[in-house]
Amino acid sequence: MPNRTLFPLFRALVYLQATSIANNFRVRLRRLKQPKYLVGGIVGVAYMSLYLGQALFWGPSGSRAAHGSASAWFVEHREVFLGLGAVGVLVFLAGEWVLPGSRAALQFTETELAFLLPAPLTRRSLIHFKLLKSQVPLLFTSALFTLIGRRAGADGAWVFRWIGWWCLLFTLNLHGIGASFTLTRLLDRGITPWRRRLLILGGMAIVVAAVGFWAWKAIPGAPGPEDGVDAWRNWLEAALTRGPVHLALTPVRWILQPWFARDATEFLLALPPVILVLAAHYWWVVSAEVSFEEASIAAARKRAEIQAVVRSGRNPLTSQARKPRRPLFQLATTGFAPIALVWKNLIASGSGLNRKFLIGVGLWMAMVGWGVSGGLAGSRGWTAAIVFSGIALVALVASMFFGPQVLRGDFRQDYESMDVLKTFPLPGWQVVLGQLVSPAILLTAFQWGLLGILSASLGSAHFGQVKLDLEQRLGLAAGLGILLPGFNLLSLVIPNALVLLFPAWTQSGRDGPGGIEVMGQRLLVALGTFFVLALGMLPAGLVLAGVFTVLRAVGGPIFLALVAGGFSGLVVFLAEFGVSVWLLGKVFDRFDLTRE
Amino acid sequence: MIEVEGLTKVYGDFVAVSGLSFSVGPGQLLGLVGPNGAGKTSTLRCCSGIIPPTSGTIRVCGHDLAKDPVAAKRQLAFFSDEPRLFEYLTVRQHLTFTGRLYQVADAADRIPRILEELDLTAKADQMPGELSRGMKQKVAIACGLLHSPSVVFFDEPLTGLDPLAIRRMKDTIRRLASEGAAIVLSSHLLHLLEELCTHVLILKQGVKVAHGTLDEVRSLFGAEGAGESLEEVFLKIAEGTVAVPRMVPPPLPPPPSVPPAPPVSPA
Repeated sequence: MPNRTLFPLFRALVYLQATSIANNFRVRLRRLKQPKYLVGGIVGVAYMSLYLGQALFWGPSGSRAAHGSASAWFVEHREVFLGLGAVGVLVFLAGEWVLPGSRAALQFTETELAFLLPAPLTRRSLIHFKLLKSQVPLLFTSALFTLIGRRAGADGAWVFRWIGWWCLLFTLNLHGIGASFTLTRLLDRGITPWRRRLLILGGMAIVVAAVGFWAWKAIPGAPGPEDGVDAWRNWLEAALTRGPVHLALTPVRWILQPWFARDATEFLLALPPVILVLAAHYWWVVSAEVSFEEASIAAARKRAEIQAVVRSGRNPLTSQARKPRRPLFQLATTGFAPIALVWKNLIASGSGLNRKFLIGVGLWMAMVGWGVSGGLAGSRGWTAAIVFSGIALVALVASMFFGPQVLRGDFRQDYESMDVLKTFPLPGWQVVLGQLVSPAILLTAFQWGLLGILSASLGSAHFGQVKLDLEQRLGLAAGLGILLPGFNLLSLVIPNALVLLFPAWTQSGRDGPGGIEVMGQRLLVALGTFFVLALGMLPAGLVLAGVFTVLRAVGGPIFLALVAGGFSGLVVFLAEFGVSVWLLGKVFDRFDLTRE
Repeated sequence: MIEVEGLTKVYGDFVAVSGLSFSVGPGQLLGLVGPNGAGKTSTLRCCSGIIPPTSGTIRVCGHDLAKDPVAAKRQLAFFSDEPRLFEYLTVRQHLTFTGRLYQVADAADRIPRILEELDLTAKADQMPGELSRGMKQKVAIACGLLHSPSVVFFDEPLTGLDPLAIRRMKDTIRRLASEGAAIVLSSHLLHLLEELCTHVLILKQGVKVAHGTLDEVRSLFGAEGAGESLEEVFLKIAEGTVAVPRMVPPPLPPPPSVPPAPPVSPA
């Protein structure tokens, strides 16, 4: 490319990048005038200072002695780590040749394409734009990895690590582009992706087998199948540090050597080979004459759609290609109006009388039935019972605390349609009630399923001397089953209250990339959620414990005590939920979209 | 049908609408006109209960929107410039859902009829993502009309529609008015307003600068009087080349009597 074209382009790109960063920074600074961002910013800066400041100024976390021994161990086995790293990079690069199935596409935003494609620029200029543009995120990511590495205990000069990370990431970036260009050429010559994959995998298998065989013969002391782990480790260490494997990995090790440099001399000596690798990749990429424009446009559009879905608070994996869903129940045209919202949100969540749902219910019934009928008896059954009950227990606890964050078929799902919700002829509390019930139904149904598995499998499982009899198992399942709907409803109040009370805090980052102040806000929201949930659980927990203790003290059966305890807890949860819905209804009635 | 008294909407330090009063009777079609940022959308969103006004009262069919929002909203329909649909409900599910929300007892009978009227029967089980913009607009209209609203707000109803869809939208608006609904229509398409509206309200920087029948508004401005087009009047106001006369609130509309639909001009 003639210099008269490259330099104006370079200046334009630098201008674009510099002004974008400066404007972004200015907007963020201006935003700090709002207390919600200022507080978030202070918390975010404090957290980052504590997390990364320690890495920069105080070194890695953990005891100094432990760090010292880990560092010494790392230095001792440096060549092995270098070899393993090279194998990892090689596998990653192989993936670039095997996995892609579409044509080459450079990552641009839709706006960039709208400006760049009609501009008087050559294809090579667009590649230069892409490479130059990628430097800011590459340098930032490298710096972040360096800091996290130091925090985790990595030793050595940070500048070597930073440049080392950059060398590695930029090479991977260039290789990915080059490989996609070459694969597009193969596609243009009629070689289909599956044929290409077979050829490449076959070729790789031959090379790996040849090098492995050579290494087996060349390096003495090759272990047999009966040898222990130590023999294999010693031989692997030898294979990675000398001989044919070491030789085959040399170009890849060049990429990693700046990162592994222990002093300035080693670092300077490591630079020429990596520069050579980078230059070869650069030449490969810029000299490719491959049409990537159409695929880039399609990729940019797809990315913009995914970003729009993410900004609207939905899951990009489930929101694409929606198909009509049969509802769980038929909605009558008259009756309690909030049921319409429950019906709508159940459809939105994908719950319906479809094949997947029926298969799931069938499998669950089979599992529970098998457990109850003694299928889990005997020593093998005991192991299976432990596994089933363990998985069910972990899933149950996780669903209680993370379920309300995962199931978002409420105000979080409909935040973008809040103006539509505001036109509904319903009092606020009915809208809130209708919006909160459907995720609670789904969560509770899932948890009841787990309780079924748990109570069936616990019949055969015992932990030490503790074994639950049928009455205890049924009492626990019934008590928890009664309690959980109330717990779930209350848990769902918190994220929805945040949306209605502090929409800017929960919706931050939807209109642009998140910053340190947004991270601080999220930390505060997480802490606040934990605190409010604990506070809400306290009265129900006290009442439940009181009822259970009293009933047991007067000689009531355990089943009755557990069920009555669960029921009393549910009543308290429902009372708290009712008050919350009434209050949130008032908030919804006064909710002013224009303030957000 | 709708009476607005002293409506004011303030965003922070910015006054979007200031002391606005007007009323629209049954069968009347009020065109809301004004330059960008005049407060048209804020007015419509306040009147349809989407955003709360800072001050003032809005009565819909006698129900105060602030004191009895549920009764007032039962009589309302609001159509935004961009049809707002739930992307996970089919066309028919949208109507079923709306029927339950508005407690339309005969929704089961009305839904097939309304689908047929709007040419949506073939699309009834499709998702919004599969529909064109015009089709989505029709679905929004079907949902809005299911409960036979007495007051209808349109915010830029012709945005993005093709000529055929424009003709159908105009027919729908006329039909609603002929059936006795009070209609408020915000648009920059002044020829559309001249074609459809019985009354015009011109806003500038949140303040009412003219309100009345088309002839009354024309006669308020310029020497040419009633001979001027609405566009010329609008440009004079927007460019500030004419002194804005002191507004005298027009008398309340006559009691409900369905006026004949204005003649359809050739598309």
